Amino acid sequence: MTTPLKRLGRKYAAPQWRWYLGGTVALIITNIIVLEIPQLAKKVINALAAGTPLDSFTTLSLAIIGLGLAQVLIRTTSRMMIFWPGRALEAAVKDDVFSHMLRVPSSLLSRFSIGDLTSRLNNDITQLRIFFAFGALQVLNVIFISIFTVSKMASIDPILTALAISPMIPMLLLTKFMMPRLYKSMRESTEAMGRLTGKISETFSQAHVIQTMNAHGAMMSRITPDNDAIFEANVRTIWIRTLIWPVMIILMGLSQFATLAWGGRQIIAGHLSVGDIMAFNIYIGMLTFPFASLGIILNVYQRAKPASERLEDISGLAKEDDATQSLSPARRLDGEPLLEVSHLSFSWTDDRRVLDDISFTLCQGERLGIYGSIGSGKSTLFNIITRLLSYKEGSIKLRGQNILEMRPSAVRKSIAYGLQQPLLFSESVRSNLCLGLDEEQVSLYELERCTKQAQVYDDIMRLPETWDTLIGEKGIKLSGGQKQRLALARLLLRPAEIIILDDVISAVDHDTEHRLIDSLLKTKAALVIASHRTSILEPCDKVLVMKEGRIVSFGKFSEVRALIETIASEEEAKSIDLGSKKSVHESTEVRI
Amino acid sequence: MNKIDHKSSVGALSFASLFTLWPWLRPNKKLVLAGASMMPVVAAISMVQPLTVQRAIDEGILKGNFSTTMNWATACLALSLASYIFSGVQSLTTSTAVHRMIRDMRTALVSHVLRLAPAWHDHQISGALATRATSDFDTLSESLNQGVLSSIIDIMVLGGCVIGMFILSAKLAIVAVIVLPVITWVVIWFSRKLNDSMLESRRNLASLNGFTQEALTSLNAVKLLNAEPGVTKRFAQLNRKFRDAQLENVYYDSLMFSTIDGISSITLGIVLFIAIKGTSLGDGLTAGIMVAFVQYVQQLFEPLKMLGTKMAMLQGALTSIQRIQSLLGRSDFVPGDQPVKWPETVGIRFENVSFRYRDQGSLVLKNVTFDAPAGTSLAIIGSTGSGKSTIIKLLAKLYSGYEGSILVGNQSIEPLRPDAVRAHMGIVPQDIVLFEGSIAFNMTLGREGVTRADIVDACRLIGADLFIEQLPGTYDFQVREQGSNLSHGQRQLIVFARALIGKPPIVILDEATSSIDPQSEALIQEATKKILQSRTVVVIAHRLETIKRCDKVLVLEHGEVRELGSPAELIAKKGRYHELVSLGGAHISSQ
Repeated sequence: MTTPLKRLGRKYAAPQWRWYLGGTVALIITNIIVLEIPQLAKKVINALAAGTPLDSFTTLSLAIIGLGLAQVLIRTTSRMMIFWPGRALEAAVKDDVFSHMLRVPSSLLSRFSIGDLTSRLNNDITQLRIFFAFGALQVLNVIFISIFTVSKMASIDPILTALAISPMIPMLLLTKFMMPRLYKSMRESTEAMGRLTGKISETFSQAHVIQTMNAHGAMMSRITPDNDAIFEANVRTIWIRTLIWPVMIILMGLSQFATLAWGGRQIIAGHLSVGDIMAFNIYIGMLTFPFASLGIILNVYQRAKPASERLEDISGLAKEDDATQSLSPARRLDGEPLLEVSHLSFSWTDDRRVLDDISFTLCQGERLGIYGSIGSGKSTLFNIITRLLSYKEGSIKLRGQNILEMRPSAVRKSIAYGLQQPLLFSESVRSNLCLGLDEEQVSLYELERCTKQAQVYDDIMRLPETWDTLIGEKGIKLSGGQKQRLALARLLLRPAEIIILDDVISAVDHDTEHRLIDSLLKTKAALVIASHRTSILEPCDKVLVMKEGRIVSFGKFSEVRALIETIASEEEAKSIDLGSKKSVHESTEVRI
Repeated sequence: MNKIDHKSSVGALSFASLFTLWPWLRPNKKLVLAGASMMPVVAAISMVQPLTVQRAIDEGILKGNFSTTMNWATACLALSLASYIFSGVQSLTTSTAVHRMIRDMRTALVSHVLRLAPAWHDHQISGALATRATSDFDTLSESLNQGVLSSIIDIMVLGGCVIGMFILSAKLAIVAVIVLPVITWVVIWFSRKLNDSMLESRRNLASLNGFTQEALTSLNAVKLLNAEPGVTKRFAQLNRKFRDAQLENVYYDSLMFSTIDGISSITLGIVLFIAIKGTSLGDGLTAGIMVAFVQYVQQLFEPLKMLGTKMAMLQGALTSIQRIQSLLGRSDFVPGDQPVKWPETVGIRFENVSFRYRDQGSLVLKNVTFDAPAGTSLAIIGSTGSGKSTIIKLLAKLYSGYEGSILVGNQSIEPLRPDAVRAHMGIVPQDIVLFEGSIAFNMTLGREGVTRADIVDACRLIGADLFIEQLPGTYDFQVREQGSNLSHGQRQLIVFARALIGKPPIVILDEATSSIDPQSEALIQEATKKILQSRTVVVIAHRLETIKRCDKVLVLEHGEVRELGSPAELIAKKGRYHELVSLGGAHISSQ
């Protein structure tokens, strides 16, 4: 049974073996140099103690300087060569996991919050990088130091070596014992910080309301507990740190004591030289950090393991394409209706049907209006038609071919579906329009055509850098209506046989709306338009009225008009929406 | 928008800004002083310790005197113990003081920002503002604790080492004089590079994360546009930029670590070189001095290896301090400082009020004149953007800078304290905002001097007491976040009652537009009726029944008063109001 961490290591770290090998070689050379310097120094000290003339040692001291210079180059190389695969791995895993996220059905991915997904992409992959870079370097370091340093020390005096090293063992145990506690209090602080960040941004975004209600004090009292929790967790962290780190000082002291006491006895007895003591002192200094880091390495592993599992939770999800049994190429069955939905039913759980026995057909060039209140199942229907959601009961055929047998991307190529919410990126207008297309392949003519059709061309021309204006958080803010029309233009840029618009022009003003409908009606594609507005439904060839997941009426607008008005008045009987152009948004989409 | 220049160079940030923290640190003066007094002790210990090693060797070992050796070795161990205790106490006291300071500053910052005028808030991205209160403080506390404080000790220890070296042998100590300037230069140079590359990689990470969030939020749009490959490609681009920026950081970090490590070896070589030349000149260096000296050299370089990183942190601290202080220094308050003394009922009058929001060119209100005499109710109706909500924002002193005058009880509200004005108004905002906590807490929202009797009175007036008394714990019933364990109608009633507590002379009601279940609707209508009869009321109305119950109706269009009069008068006039009312309920094409 291979663990996720092993699988990740094999896939991403193993191909980097050349870097690891180079780094290891450089590390060995560094160790040899570093260990040789005290040996050279020892000779000088011993001569000094013996009172012999020192002139012959001049070249030796110069050699130490030379070795120091070599050390800079080779140690840099070793660190770079071992850290690089970590960074490369981090980037590669991130690319792959993100790419996988985009290809998983949204109904599966929506089980995770976006914060959670981003955190997995950041924190968990960082843990992997630390394991495969810092962890690797430290493991190698400890191995070499144990082999080289300890053996060098042992060759001077095995008993002294044992005495000098023995205090490192309790230090190691202490680190191992304290580290989980340290990380626990650090995690508590991070979690409290997460809660606080949420509360503070919520508070700031409601500054108006808070001032309106003079609720300043109440808001502050909501923030205090988490602020205090952060303080307490941080202080606890300091206590633990204080216990761990300066302990190294005292343990070093113990090692030094052992060296002087036992070593001194040996020198007096004539078994050792003073130079040996000095070399020992230096070696102890070299051992401290790598040995102390054993506890850290263990922890790095302990954190990388669950991180790799959390990543496999994502990368183990089936992709959309995987779920498609036989991916026959798109066929063209002439004579079949363009879209045929028959006896389609859908429910999230068993108790209530969101869609109940839906059947209709859509022919080439037809305009179908859909009226339905919130929760009537319109958006679910569109999600199923475009394979954002899967279904079990009934069938949907696109030109006679079952859509479950087609690749989702092929279905979406034929059916352009504009979501209720215009989802745009904080990039340029052009990038937003060309999302997913090669920007250089899209001609200016095409951009103009689709934006004019969506009645947003003039708006774009008024922007400071027209097509290249940055929009969204880092750039110019667009109004709700402009966003909707831009998203619509993005949709119209792509050729499609069917265009589905789910209440996409709710924030568009009256005059623009008229022009928009006129231009939309000119497209050759078949149109499915969901809307609350009679001005939009009226020009449609047929109107389908939905209520609670069922089709309650289907026919020409004139035939269903009375029903629509009844439903509308039932719903908002007591409200008089005085010319408000807002329509109530409640997304029944799969996510956000 | 106050843009912060991320590229602030090292020089531009003054160390003086560190001292601006003192007022915040002062309450914890004792802790700070205790910690600070430990620092020289720690430095002194590390200065003395190698000297005990030297004595142990020269006076004990080399003279064959074992008991002397043991005495000095024990002294050396005792110093280690002392060093542990002192540095432990030092780090506990100073860090506790710093974390307390951070906690207090954070509270003060949030509190300050919440008091700034809505007009200022309109131009802020609340997420970015929240960053000031969260991650900037995080950076600050980390850099202060691990950067500033520990580098102060490092520098002291460094000084101690140099002094110790001179005590041992002035000749050998020359090496320190040679090496230190080089090291200082290396550390400063690297810390700049590290700081720059750290900022650069942080910027890159921010844009990568921003893109990731947008892409995941837009997952369905991405799928529908078959844009997965394109989005993946863009992600990879940003990811690679981040990786490369990180790599630069890693490069400088490795190079600095190795350089300082190498210089420590080189220094050892120089020390030996000088020693060799020295003894041949007949200076008489002992083996003990050499061993101790080598230990000094090691001690000297250990903190230096980290000093560059710490310096980079210091720059992070300075940037954070600057951002936090500039926010704390903002004084965009709505002007007015006089207390409010209104009688139990007051009239409201707008006289030729015109107003525009700061950056928008067009007037939102144009010469608006109307009055609502004491104890009457006024309904304001009009389409979105007609200026309805601006009227109540001005009345509640959320915004200032209008032309004309707004009078309450024949007295201009301009010189009055904004929060005092609002304390005399019961305001029901359009969006119901409820917090986690008891019903009683949600009614008072921390207002002082409100008794349980006041709460019960207000609830009774609008009939909210009926449902509250049936809840477990009645007024102590715990409301969940956003009021999710209450029905829509119940939530609305709580907000109504909240506005009526303390019998404010004026009630402002911004009716919710969304329709709700008939039962709640009936409750709310009943409550609205009670409110309208109670005192001077201004209501932005969406419900026909509400409007009909008001004494006066103001029809607003494009910021201008189009019609003003009693409902009956306006119906008779057959104008815009009549038109709207005759549309009745069915308004799917209400445009």
